[in-house]
Amino acid sequence: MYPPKFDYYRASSVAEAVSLLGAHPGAKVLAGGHSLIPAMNLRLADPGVLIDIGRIDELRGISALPGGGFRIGALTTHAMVAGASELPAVLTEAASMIGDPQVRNRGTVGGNVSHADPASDLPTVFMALGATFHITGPGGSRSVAATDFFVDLFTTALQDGEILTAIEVPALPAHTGSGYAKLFNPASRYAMVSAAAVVTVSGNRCEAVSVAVGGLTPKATKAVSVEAALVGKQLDEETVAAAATAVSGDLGDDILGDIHASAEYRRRMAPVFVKRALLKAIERAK
Amino acid sequence: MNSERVNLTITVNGKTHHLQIPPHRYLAEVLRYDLGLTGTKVGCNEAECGICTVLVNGVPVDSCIYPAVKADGCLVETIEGLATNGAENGRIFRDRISPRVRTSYYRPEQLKGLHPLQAEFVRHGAVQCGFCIPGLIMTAKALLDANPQPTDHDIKVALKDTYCRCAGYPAIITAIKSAAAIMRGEPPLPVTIPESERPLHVVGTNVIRPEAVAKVTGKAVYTDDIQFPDQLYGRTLRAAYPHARILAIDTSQAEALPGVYAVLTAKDVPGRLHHGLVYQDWPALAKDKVRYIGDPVAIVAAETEEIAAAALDLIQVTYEPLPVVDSPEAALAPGAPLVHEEWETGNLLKHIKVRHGDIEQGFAEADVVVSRTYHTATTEHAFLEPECAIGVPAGYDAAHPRLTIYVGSQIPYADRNQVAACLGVPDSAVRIVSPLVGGGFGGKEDIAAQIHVALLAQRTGRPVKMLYRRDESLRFHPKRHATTIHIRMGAKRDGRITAVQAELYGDGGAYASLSDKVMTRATTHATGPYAIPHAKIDCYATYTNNPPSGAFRGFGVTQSAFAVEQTIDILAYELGIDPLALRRKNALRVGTTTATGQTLRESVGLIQTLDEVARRIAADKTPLNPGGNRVRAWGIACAYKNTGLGGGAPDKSAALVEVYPDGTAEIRTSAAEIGQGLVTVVAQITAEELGLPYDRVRVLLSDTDLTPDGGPTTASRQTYVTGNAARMAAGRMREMLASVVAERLDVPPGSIRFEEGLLRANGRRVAFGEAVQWLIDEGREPRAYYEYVAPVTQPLGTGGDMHFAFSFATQAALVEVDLDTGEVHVLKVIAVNDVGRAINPVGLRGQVEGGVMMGLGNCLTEAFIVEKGVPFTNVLARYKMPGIKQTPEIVSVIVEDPTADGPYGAKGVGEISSIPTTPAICNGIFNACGVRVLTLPVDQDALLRALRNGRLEVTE
Ligand SMILES: Cc1cc2nc3c(=O)[nH]c(=O)nc-3n(C[C@H](O)[C@H](O)[C@H](O)COP(=O)(O)OP(=O)(O)OC[C@H]3O[C@@H](n4cnc5c(N)ncnc54)[C@H](O)[C@@H]3O)c2cc1C
Ligand code: FES
Ligand code: FES
Repeated sequence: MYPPKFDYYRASSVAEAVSLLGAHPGAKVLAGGHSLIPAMNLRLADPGVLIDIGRIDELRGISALPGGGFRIGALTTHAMVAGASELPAVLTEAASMIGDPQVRNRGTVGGNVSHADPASDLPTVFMALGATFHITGPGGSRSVAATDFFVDLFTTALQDGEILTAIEVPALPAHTGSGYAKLFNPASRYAMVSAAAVVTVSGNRCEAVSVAVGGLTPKATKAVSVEAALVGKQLDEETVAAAATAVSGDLGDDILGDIHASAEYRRRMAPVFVKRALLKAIERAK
Repeated sequence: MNSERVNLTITVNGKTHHLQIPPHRYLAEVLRYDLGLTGTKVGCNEAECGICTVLVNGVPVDSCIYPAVKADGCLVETIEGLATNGAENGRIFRDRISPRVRTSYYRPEQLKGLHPLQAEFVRHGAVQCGFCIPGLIMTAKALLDANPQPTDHDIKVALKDTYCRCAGYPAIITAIKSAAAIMRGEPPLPVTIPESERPLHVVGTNVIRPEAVAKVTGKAVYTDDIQFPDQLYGRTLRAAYPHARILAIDTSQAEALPGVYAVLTAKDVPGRLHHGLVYQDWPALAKDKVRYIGDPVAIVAAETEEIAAAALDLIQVTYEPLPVVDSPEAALAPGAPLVHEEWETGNLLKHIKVRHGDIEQGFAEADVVVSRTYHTATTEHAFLEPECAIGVPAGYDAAHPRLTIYVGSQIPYADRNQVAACLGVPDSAVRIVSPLVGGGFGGKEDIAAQIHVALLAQRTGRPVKMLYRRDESLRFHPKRHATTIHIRMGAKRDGRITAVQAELYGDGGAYASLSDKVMTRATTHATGPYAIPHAKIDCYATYTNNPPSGAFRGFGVTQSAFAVEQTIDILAYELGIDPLALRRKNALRVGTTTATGQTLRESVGLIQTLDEVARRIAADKTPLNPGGNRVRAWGIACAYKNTGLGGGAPDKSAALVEVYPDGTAEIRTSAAEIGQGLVTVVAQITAEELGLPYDRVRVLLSDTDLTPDGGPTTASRQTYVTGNAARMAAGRMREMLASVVAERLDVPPGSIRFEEGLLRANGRRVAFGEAVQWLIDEGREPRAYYEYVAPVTQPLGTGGDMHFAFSFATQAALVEVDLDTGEVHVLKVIAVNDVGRAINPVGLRGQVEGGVMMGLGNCLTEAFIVEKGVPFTNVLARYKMPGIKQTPEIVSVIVEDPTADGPYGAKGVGEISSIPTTPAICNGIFNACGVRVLTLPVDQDALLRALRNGRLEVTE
């Protein structure tokens, strides 16, 4: 084994990390290293300089926001999220399906969304939850909505020199449930198709719903047609299944396909997994 | 911290180290190479296989991608720190390679002081090749630290992507649960492996693998664990194209790079350029052209791996790309470009024929004829230990008077011949020493780096190590043949099969490797384990520009069984006969004749395996109606597989036993232990024959200077052939001792019994060690050697006995298909194997569980994908091996129909256990959802499309 050479700096604060990034053009932030280092070992990335943010403690942890909802520090690991029962089920469920314990112990929420791998689990979930992304850079801090954060395949709203510091998820209203369903890639176990759903019920009626899909689209995508088809409806299985099929209209033309699963297959799987996520959410809302 | 080296303080297993390391050094490297803690293994560098797991501040991490600087100030726990009986925490290296250290020897006191996980992995037989074990145990430790009472499900979640390719997952789960019980203060789980129906004193009983304790403590030595203080690092420049003429190679810049000691190309090979186990067509270094993307063009030895890698970048090779032959069809097309211009039959490596009876008549007699075309994929062994070899130049030190190669080899003596031939020196100038092997499955039979490190060591005068990274391993070594199989089968209304006609096309890749033999086996086994009066089978093994194909567990029979066993089910469906009854009706039994003309005279347990499977399915309580949009059904398949090389190849093995006045014995042979348990088998047999307790027998394997030739570890032959060699050698020793003791006690030698380390006669008893002393006192060598020659076999086409023994098996798989997604899950496998005699029941169970899992992978997920000669599968993340989560319940049942010449009646099991799984699952898929899958691996996408479109077959 021989890794590409790199220089290494350990930042002890966000400010220091930002200034190190400024001083080393092309440098990359190192969080859990579970996307970056394999890519480097495989020669898919060779940043030359790594800025380790792993010991900036203020970036780690989950806290309840005064007005409801939660703030999840960028360095919070998948394992911590999976174990945080106060978080919406869709998030803990998705985090517990990432990789294996080794990956979940090191991989971070911030790294996961910053990397913006289309096959990742968390972007889909944050999209469905309507999360807000907090970013700090040389020009100060700013906040970006999920719909703006994910730009394209491996591309986010993060600019050179910027660091994602935290993600905020809003409080879920009463009688709301959420669920995540995923078609595993048989080799890597990443998502080939994934769906996240948040449903508020009133009696057996759908009061509000938010659905996002991922894995098959270049970036996590809101399934607005599904939402439109469901809101206000009675939540029996047939209605849910019918609404789920509407996802086809939200996927766009650019469906990912590869040797593991064709674009056509993934497209066909989207309603199956949207339905599964919705049913879980509805079950939990009751 | 921007410098060449950074400070690192870490506390490993309680000991604090202050180191200066390059910033880009990973924790696994620091542990292995800087601290000498080689118990932590590396299999991929991708965070994919999990075997490098260590605990950092109590949390399991993949140390292969964990920059060591990140662990600054942290507490690290490795496998070496688990046992309390003297944790090894220091430097290794050369002293670890003396023969005494490499002998395997189980002593009960070794279990004392082990962590419960270590002890229970050993006791429950969860240890096979051992390469994955440290990572598994560390992952399991983190689990138990957090969850003292894990369920099966918890264990499967925790170990999800920590792979064991020997795949003893059921034993691993039991071992973890047992350890958890001990840690809670409860009694351990009992070992429930069924023993032989007719156990002897040691043979047929459950014993502990001699090298298991070393494997669970991290002390076991694999090739990369050996390090010489002044060693150089070798690397190989491989072809830039799958097929190209080499016009020029310029190595001058590479040679000029500081730190580079040698850059060699084909012109530097002093002896024979080519190697190969059957045909010598494979150049040690490519000369005029490259024929596949793994072809070595130049090799480099340098001070560090990085310099060696940098040197490769400086070698300039001018190529003229040639058109790529990417499939057997392309290879045989008229006017196809030639892979080997000099081969007489063009791209046709070999046409193999089986002719039996009169095929026209056979089909004329048939009432029903079915035919189908099947495709199987190229598959990859994915042994977790990548290839590694170290060459030590002749005269390097007192321990290395000869050129010595350390390599985890499946065939030490063949390696010696091949290295010597390429170096142009006599065999006696070369010594091959095999440390432990981290899995082989057939993939370590051909030459890998052996010749390269020899050339580099001789050139530089220093030890040279070559360790392949996973991508290089994937790209280089021979695979399982992709095949296309057309098969036609006819039967009478009553179910009697009258004719089988088949045509097979095998992708042999760029070099012959073992294609000839593998494809011959596919051909001769293409009638399945059935008595078929009329057969005509033609197989075309071809050269292409894909990676070579060679030996892989099942050796061609895996492919033909997939086709035959589904065709049998299709026929059963057409005839309206139960598939099990149809098999039973046509099954080989004593007195029947195989398609190659061999009449079976004994040891044909096929029908017993069928009946046993029928009984177990009938008694099974698993509900067949899971609800939801899912369907379930059982599928069955049979198989048979030869034991031994067969086909007229002389098959022999030698063993030497030495006895000592301290009452112990040592058995020596050069036969590879690749995880299958041969060490245990020869130790058991030696103990049995000499009447010694099992823990008084040591085993020394695979050192061409110290151990006689045991032949290749292939064709499920070692238990039979080397087992016999050990048995005869020990038998000879027994006679020698008996005659000495008889004389002294004045009793007939025949009256002496060997029991429990004593020789008894007429109420008198002599300790074994004392008898040995008497032997020595008489001036006789306390050594006995035996070269066992297996019964003669005949080549294909002569109609004589092609093989001296066959194993038989039937498997049933309970399969569930998700009609929404096309996903296929295997819930349960019943595997019944006729192995003649279970010598080592623990090893046998490991072979069965591992075989089933490999068959399951072969069926459902595994495909090594090559596009126009270039592997898409260049990382482990792109190769879908089944892990613990996909592990079904595996019920292993042993049938013992002994074969006369096998040791105690034993036949091989290593391959047969893997062969029926794939067709059993496919038959189950059909029975569950009505779609027949004719192409491997099962593609959920294609299966779903067939389901939706109402098509009955998946052909893509
Ligand atoms: C074997 C394996 C299996 C996996 N399976 C899955 C899976 O099933 N599902 C899934 O979703 N993921 C999976 N992953 C990916 C895993 O979740 C990664 O941990 C995650 O995607 C990246 O997080 P990290 O902390 O390791 O980031 P790193 O690898 O350290 O960084 C990733 C990228 O993000 C940048 N970055 C990191 N943190 C920040 C920050 N705070 N601000 C700005 N940029 C930042 C880095 O510069 C880098 O470019 C798997 C990984 C492996 C190795
Ligand atoms: S995961 Fe580290 S070696 Fe494979
Ligand atoms: S014992 Fe697990 S890989 Fe061999």
